[in-house]
Amino acid sequence: MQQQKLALKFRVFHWGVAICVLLNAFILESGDFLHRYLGYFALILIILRISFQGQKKVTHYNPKAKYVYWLIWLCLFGLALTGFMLGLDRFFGDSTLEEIHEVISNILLGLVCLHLLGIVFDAFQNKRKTWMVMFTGDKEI
Amino acid sequence: MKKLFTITFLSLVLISCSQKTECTKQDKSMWQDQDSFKENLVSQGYKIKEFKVTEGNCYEIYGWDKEENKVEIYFNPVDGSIVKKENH
Ligand code: HEM
Repeated sequence: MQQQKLALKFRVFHWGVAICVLLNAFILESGDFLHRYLGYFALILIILRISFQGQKKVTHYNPKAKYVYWLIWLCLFGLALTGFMLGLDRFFGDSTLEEIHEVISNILLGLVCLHLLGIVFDAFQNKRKTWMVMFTGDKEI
Repeated sequence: MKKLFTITFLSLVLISCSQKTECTKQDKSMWQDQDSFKENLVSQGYKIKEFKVTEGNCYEIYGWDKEENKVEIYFNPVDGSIVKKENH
């Protein structure tokens, strides 16, 4: 057993992005002022988060989870890009691009479900409160 | 168990805050003809790039108003009034 601590900034970025994703997917209307600016805000969070990756000093519970995280990040970039393009004169309101934006969003939500299932699964299998890492930062490996 | 209920309840509250614009509850037979609706807007000086019928029963346009502002507008399809306008 070894005690590890996930630094506060990783938890703040995690919940910042999670809140942006959930608000944009379920609460705010597509194309809204807030929807657009939260999207750009999330993009900034993700870029900062990835630039901090080297400072992350905790070991993954499950190394395979990192593929899900990279796919989540990829989807977030895809959403920011297609969202930005939807604002250009050329693609303003373009149905095809809107559809692509929506498909990426659905893939992202699917990945988030996978992420949550993984956490619940780990919690059962190893009889621990896996999710607490993202709240308290305390991790036992 | 109590926690689980709290989380479920809060999620439901959050989801019910969903801000989808609804424009009318009236039957489709009461709606204006799409082509004449669009022509009417164009004659008012709007430039329409895209026209859509939304899930919330709105006629929605993406385009430019007569002052050349880039706008996304939700209209009531029955009386043609503006329900929501977003400047882009
Ligand atoms: C839209 C929602 C969410 C997204 C997009 C998301 C995304 C991510 C990403 C990209 C990571 C890895 C990078 C990092 O450390 O930040 C991560 C890790 C993590 N997330 Fe989430 N997440 C979401 C919701 C949640 C929720 C609701 C929980 C808690 C129940 C949660 C718990 C965790 C935990 C515990 C980890 C670390 C797991 C490990 O150590 O391998 N996440 N999440």
